[in-house]
Amino acid sequence: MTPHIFKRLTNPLRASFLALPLFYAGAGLFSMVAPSIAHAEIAIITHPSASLDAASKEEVARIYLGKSTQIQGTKLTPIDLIEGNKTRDAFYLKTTGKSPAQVNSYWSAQIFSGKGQPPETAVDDIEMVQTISSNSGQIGYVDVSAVNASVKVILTIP
Amino acid sequence: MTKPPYRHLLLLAGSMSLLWSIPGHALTDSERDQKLQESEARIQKLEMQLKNSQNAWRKTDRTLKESVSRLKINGFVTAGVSRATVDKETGNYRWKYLTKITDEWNWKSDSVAGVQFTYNIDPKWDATVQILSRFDDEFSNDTNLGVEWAFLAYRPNDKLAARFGRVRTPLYMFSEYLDVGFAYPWVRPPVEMYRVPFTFYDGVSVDYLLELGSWNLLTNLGIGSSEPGVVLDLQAKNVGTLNFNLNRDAWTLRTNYTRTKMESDDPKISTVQQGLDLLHTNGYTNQRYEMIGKNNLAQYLSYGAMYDDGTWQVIGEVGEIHWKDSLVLDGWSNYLSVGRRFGNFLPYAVYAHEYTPAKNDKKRQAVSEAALAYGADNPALAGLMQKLSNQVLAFTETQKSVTLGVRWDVSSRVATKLEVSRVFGFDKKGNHIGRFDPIENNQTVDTEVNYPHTGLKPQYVTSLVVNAVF
Repeated sequence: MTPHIFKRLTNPLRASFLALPLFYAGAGLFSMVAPSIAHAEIAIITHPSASLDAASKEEVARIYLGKSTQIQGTKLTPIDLIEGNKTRDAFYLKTTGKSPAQVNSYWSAQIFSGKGQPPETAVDDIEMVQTISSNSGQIGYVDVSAVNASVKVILTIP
Repeated sequence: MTKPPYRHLLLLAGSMSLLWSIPGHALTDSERDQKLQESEARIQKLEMQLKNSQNAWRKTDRTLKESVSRLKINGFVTAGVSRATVDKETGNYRWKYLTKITDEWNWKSDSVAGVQFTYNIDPKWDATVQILSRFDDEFSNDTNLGVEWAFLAYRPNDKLAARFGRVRTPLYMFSEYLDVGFAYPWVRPPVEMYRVPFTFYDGVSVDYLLELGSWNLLTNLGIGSSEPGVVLDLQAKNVGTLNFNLNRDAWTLRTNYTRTKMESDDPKISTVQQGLDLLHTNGYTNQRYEMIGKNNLAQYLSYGAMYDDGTWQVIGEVGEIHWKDSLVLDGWSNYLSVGRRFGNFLPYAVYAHEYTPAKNDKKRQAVSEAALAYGADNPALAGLMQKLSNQVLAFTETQKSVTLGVRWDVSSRVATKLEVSRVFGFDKKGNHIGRFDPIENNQTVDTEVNYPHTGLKPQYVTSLVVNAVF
């Protein structure tokens, strides 16, 4: 009997099966010190001539995940900030609840099933404002501090 | 470390001043002027050349940028090791799980690399090719290249997309990107449901997107046929697939119905068929049974639901495979996966089950008994009939598994997963009934082998993978 029990306990795979819940608990503790996201407000912007004056967070999220191409009948093409940009990470977390990895995971599914490609990108707030102000029919997002008169703010996300 | 470039300049300036300070031979003023003019002309010529080449470069750059923006290259890689506890103490046999996982760590089961090229021909037409590379089997280091997506797409508007060529069969929720590990939480989608003999077809696939308020309804209709597959040379002909995917925020609901005529020219199948015909013509069975002949109708029906709010992720699917006029088992499969994110960690638990309704099993039981009876009455054929009986019963896929795992998003494009599954693939007598297969002398043993009563208990399968997308 004793050797049998001994074998059970020393079997590395069985041991790891039992140890996994401990690993989870560790992961949970680790997450409590996970970095917090930027506190800055984000402005959702369009060209001043856009017939749209206000949009909801959900409508903006749908445009950015490629689930819709319009808000309240106004056709809009989304422009993203590049990966790694803090405003971008905060934008996706606040509108879709997704982390950068989750956004990429979502787009991987779309890309590799031939359904679509993620939005085109602007390198920073300055280029974003320039792009949006010089092309009607686009939608973008920037830190509120980057907003000027050349664009229209349709939603502010705290 | 290379030296900073200004050192070279300093060196140059030094040697120049040295040259100037050397008293040269006397030059007349006119000679000097001429030399100066020559130098100026040479400089002007060089400047022109530089300008021309700059212009040419700008032009090339523009053209290059334009074609680069039309061409999208995406890829995915999974590198992983796995091991099953199936031990060697079972006579001549070793066992493997999912065709490649053995009792020795190897990285052949889940490792895969894929690259996809999409070229936008114009705003309405684009072409996509996806190439996959994976290991052939667990015995060699050979890899094979496969094309699982290759289509020309026509998108006349935002609602409609028609794809012509090779597309993946959307049998279940993750079927269309089965090899893109980064896109799902697990090491591999539950095998009890996802290991099916045909993954793609050649034909036409049409997507229609309907916005219903904040709900999206994506309907997909496809028709085509597949090449003979790797499993028993199965060929899916007259594939028809209808898919509904309803989505809103965190919710996804889907259903798929696929029907196809299955056909196989595999000699193993035809040998079985000869035996079954013999039973019928001699009156041992009161109807003619088929394993897989010509035009055996197979129907796949499934429902799935997912809730993912960024923190909690719950996924469940149920599926049924129904074979008409065939001794291949009808199969039911289902799974439920629950996970919760803690920062970049996603621990999850999965219960998965596949089984055979008893009714169909009785049909096979009757055929098995008829074969044994025929063998008893005709001793010359007893051995063959024993084999037939075993074969008829061997087409079983009954398995349960419980999986605990954790996905860790190392970065926004790299994830690693550790997973342990407790797999019940043998019955209480030790008969193999699940996704385990015996190996003898580095060969997968055919289903005609009389399975030894190994008395194997639930097995543990451990996998560690790294997924990346680019």
